[in-house]
Amino acid sequence: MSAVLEEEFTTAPGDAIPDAPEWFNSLRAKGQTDFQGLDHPTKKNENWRFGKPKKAQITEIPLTDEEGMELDIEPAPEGVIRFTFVNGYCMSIEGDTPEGLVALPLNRAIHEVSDYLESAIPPMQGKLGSEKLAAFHRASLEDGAIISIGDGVKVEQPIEIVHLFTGAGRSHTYLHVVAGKNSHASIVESYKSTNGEDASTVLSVSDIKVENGAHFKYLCTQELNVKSQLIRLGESHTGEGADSTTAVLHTGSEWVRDEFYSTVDGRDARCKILSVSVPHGEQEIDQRTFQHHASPHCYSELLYKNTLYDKAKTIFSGIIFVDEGAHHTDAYQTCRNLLMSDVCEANSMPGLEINADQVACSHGSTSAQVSEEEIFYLQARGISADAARQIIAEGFCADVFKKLNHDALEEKAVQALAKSFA
Amino acid sequence: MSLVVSNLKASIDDTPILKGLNLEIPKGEVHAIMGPNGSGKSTLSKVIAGHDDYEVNGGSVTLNGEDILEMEIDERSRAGIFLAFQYPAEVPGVSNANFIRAALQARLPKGEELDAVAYYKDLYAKMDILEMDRKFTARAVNEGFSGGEKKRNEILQMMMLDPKFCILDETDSGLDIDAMKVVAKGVNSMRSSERGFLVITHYQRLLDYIQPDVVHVMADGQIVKSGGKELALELEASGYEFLKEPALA
Ligand SMILES: Nc1ncnc2c1ncn2[C@@H]1O[C@H](COP(=O)(O)OP(=O)(O)O)[C@@H](O)[C@H]1O
Ligand SMILES: [Mg+2]
Repeated sequence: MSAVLEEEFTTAPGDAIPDAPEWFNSLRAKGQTDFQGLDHPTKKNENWRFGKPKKAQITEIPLTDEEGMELDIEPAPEGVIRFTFVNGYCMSIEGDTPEGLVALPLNRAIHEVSDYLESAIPPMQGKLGSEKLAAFHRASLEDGAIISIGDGVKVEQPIEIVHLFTGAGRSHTYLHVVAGKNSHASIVESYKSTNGEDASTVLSVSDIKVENGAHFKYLCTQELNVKSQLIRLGESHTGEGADSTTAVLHTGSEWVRDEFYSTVDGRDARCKILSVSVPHGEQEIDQRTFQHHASPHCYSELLYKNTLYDKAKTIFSGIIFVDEGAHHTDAYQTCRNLLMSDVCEANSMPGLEINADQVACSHGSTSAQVSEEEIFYLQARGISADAARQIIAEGFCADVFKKLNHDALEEKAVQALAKSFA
Repeated sequence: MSLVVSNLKASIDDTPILKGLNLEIPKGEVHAIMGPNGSGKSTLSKVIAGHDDYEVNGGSVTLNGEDILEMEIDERSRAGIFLAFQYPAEVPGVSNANFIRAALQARLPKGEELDAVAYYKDLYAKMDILEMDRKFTARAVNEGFSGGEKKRNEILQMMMLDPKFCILDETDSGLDIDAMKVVAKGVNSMRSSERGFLVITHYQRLLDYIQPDVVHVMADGQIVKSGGKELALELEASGYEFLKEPALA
């Protein structure tokens, strides 16, 4: 399959899109008002400690402009629903959507499922430091993947969302998911550059809602070229008795800012938040997380692992926040850094605020080099010390994806990961 | 291949552990080393394997006449030395199948790829001999394995890597009788006129199933007595008390 990029009709942020429903245009307008009223973050902002707020000033970067370029896109395997986006614009959706599933690009969804979408789009994100960018994203909202899994619907194969970026400049992506009551589904999203040269700046927002009793898994693999930058703002809500797992793999981009706010807000809600980053060279991965326990008897588990080479830098700042009355909370937060060089820099800032009783919480971060005993063991089997270090580091990362408890997603993650260790 | 250890001295943190140890194991033979805890048996095996914690202060170790003490740890393995560890390390996130495959791949010339189909066929056949469940291939190396599972896994690696000289350090500890028989079956299937074995054990029991040609007694970093397999039975009956007698000290 091939897609030809045509000139896209882009409307200035905040301006009304002709033919779009009124509610949608007012969302954009409100985004623009908020954007203008907010300041860019500075280093003084607690959420930007150790970070590079200047890098987040991306709004002046021109949008990518790559019309007429032809891209070869592999067709999706039989039975797989796949969105393909180029520079944030939906080029195609493959596969048949079964009864009860909505999988549409935003620019169609605002017409075809307008009432649903109007009620389902949540308030703007940005609670972890990027409010202004969240508003900017809202003001510029034009396209994205809108996925709604109906109550009780089971989608067997993971739904795929492929993002390709080509040409220098800024692009926006949007993912909106509602996993209806007692539904079962999974989504795998990937970010790739079409070449090693074009410096893309990607602003990505995802809103994930997992309703009561639903089982939902999500994996995002980010393999942009190392000229690119990514700002990823994510939120998930997990309802009563629901089970959600979200995972991200960052191997690409010279700078990543990744904010993830998860809320468990119904009795027996369970939520896992996973991340693996493998920065090399001077790549910097800056991650901020918030585990919000809004109801009693919920479980959340966060595991972030970083494997740092060369002069790479990572920042992890995470908070577990237990609301008043959210008794019997189980909340865990772990950040583990594997230092593969003497000059890499891993910063961890775990945090905890508990306002309830009968709470089991733990948080911790560790930084270590590859264990000498493990290297010795592999060497004693004939594997060179360098190869042993790589195998152990890859295992350290791959281990995280076991927690997806989903063979197909785990395989995709491990395959993407393997490229960093080849 | 034959292994010759002469006057080997090794220390850890300046504490001498091996104090001039001599041992000669011709190819085709199985030698056992027995001795009390702390006598230096594991130290000997790790010094031969090349562990960095130990400093060699003198003597030599040769494999078929070739000095191995100058080799890197991985070179020694590729040269044919295999050590089944008393306490094997755990390697999280690395599947057993991938681990053994990487070890075999390391033995191939650059650019040559291991034949995956043949590899799995061989792996499964050897796992069958060791009565190991297929699930082992996907599990992370030794992670969450019981003591017995770890030992079986060591023997599986030994069978897969086809070494020229095998050292088994207390492979029997943590095994019940049935598991020990299975492990012994694996080891015995590898006995050949070309391959040498050093079997380190604290108990005589294992030697009922892996019959040694020679039994050595180690105490305080040296071989203090050598004999036929009946020596193991004697030790079983009378213990290591005789080592304390001044005449032997
Ligand atoms: N890593 C180590 N650090 C300090 N002492 C050690 C270490 N390994 C072995 N030793 C010491 O060396 C001696 C011999 O130990 P080892 O070789 O394990 O004996 P064996 O295997 O015969 O029981 C013991 O006194 C033990 O405490
Ligand atoms: Mg020992």
